[in-house]
Amino acid sequence: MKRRCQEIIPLLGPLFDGVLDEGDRALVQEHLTSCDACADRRTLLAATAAALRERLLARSAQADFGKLADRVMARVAEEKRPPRALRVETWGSEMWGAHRGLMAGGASLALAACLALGVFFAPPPIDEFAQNAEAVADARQTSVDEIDFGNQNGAVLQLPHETTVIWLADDASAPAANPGQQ
Amino acid sequence: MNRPGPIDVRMSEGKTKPPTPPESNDRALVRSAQRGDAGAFRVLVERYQRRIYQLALGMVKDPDEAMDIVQETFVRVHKYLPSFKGDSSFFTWTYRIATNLCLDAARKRGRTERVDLEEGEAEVEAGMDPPSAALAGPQRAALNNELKEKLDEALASLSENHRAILVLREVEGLSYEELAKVLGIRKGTVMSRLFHARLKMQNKLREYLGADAPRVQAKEEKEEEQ
Repeated sequence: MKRRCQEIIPLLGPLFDGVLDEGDRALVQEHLTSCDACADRRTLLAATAAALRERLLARSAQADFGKLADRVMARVAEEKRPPRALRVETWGSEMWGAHRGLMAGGASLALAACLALGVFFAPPPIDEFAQNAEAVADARQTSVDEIDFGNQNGAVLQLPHETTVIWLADDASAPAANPGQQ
Repeated sequence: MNRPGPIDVRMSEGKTKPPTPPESNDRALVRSAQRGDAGAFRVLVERYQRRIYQLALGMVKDPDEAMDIVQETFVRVHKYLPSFKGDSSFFTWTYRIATNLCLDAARKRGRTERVDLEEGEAEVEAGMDPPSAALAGPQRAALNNELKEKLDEALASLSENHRAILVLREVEGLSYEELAKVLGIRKGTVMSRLFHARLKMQNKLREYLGADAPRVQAKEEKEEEQ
């Protein structure tokens, strides 16, 4: 092989691909007119490329693409739809991000309302309730009878559970309590 | 089955490209798909599915696996579509995703040529010279069964990188710039890698596309990987 051919061979591909600049193209083409071996090389280059292209086009022509797009779209839709937990998390995150102020204000108001309602409607402790109820019942059963003690002022207080309290005052202007029991 | 047509060996330089995809129309479809228009995305799938399949078929050989790669390619395209800025064309971007999937699949299958030019081979013995008589013969006018088989074997015997660049260039018709983008290498590497890939393919097919040629010692510089 001539030394010139060694230089030309690497340029045959770019010549075939149409990317050689004008100077190199002229150089190679001039060589090809006088060198049968390189002309054959160029032809082999084209033949190999064409054979490969024909082969792959022929093989791909046998393929059925009828449902490929459907399968792709189904996969895409499937991958687009995340699991429920992730969807809820994402929704919450998005909502919080978009309406942070509003959501924080609303939550504060709701909390305050709950506290107020709780305080308002909270039942009293059971012991206190019982004591109050007893006191009320006792108050209903208590009566004061006015009795004439002559020169002394006094009163008789009838308490429940058959208990009587008598007040006698030594001084009519300032009655003093002298509790006693019958 | 479609029978392959005759090989056109009269191709002149720069006239071998397949039709260029309608990029301007792609942009509108991509924008619609990015806004969630499933119909627009479907059109893109249908537009490129066959070309992606051709690439995958050249890379992994098995038709079912190639079809799986096509499907996975478009699922990923959809997934990353929101981040697609349009710096490169949609089809270049899609090819890049598909090529990466093909390379992964091919590597997993281990169908690789272990000794590779990129791995340090500095000198290539290249049988570049087909005899003129064979070139003129009618046997080159059609792909016979043996040649088909040999073509498949020759392609499968190449390294993944060589196979990818060969299929993307010879079958898909990508320009050198597009090849650089899709494969993530420099343009100089594209030219070097393509040269070696072609050389190897020609060596494998020499006896079918032209035999008894004198061998050529072509000293090539080691490819510089990016």
